[in-house]
Amino acid sequence: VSLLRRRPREGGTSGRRILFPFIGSTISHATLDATLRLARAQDAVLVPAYLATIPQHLSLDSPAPLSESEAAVPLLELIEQRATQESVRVDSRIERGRTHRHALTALLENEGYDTLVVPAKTSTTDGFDPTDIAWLLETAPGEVLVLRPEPATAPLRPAAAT
Amino acid sequence: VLVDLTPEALIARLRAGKVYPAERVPAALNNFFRVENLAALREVALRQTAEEVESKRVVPAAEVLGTRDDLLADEAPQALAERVLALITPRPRSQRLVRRAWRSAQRLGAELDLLYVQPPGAPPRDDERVQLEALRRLASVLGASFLVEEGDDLVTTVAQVAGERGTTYVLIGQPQPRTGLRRFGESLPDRLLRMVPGVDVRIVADRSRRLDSAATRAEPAP
Repeated sequence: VSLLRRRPREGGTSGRRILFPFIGSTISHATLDATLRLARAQDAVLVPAYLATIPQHLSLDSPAPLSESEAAVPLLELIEQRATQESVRVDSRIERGRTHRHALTALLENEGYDTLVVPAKTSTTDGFDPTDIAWLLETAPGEVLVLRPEPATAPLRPAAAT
Repeated sequence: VLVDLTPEALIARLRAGKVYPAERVPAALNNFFRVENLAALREVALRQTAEEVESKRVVPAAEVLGTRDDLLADEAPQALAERVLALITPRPRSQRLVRRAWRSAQRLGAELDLLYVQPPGAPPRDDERVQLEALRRLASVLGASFLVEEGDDLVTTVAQVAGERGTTYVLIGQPQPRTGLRRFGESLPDRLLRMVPGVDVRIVADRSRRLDSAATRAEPAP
């Protein structure tokens, strides 16, 4: 009987996608947990996307500076670990641009999504500042959810992933 | 060939009419020929030259091997260069495989190639095309080469590409469980080790399998 049991479809069963752009070298525990709860509740695929910036003196097509890749890769790994623990499927991305907003524009153009979850910056965690969030609320299509964690909570750092 | 000049020296040459005719000089000074632009351009040129010199640098074999054997000495530089090849599929799980491969390549100081072997006459479906495009962008961001080869047989194609590119490591995702008669055949890692001799093969675990097995455990058997 177990041979007839179908494996769950890769990429989530509802077909919904939650886009989770982030910047910097830390992510707030509370923000990630809330995003994972939402993804689980909706049976959606989480699409964490690190936004890398390319300095002006390099071509926009050039590889991201090593510091950016070294920040992105372990953070994505950390998010995938947490997502696996929460039984949430993940389809990660790294998007680049001259600025975070430029990279965000490219991300919105390239990725289909149902809900956009945006971490807001606090005194202890990296995230988007109010001007970027205001811009997103005006321009991003679809549902936009802004999460602001408790300022006192400690952020997740890649070292915790290992 | 790089001819290096300080921004100030270049501006002096411009003012002296050695770059443009005199009537174009004021406009040039107000537009591109500003110290900050020239300094940035100089930095890019120097950096690129340094990278090219570094990539062509041949490590003297005697330094490495401490031998006078001419044959070994000739082959030593190639033997020292590591190159990683990651076999990708148009699935979300390949994103992790690429990141793992990139980290390995960083540790080894190696170049990274990503290879998708496409079955002949079977163009990717829409969802696969989206995944391939995302992988292509990831390759570009991480500075990896993205290769697509048509081939009936995955391992034969990998062997050919690995030979052409001097691959020393192959990373693969967790193979699908073999069913039916395939269970009695040779596994993918075994075939790779046999057909690409001398190349290390590493398997990157598929985390989504944990979800599947957890779901299967949680689901009561009918």
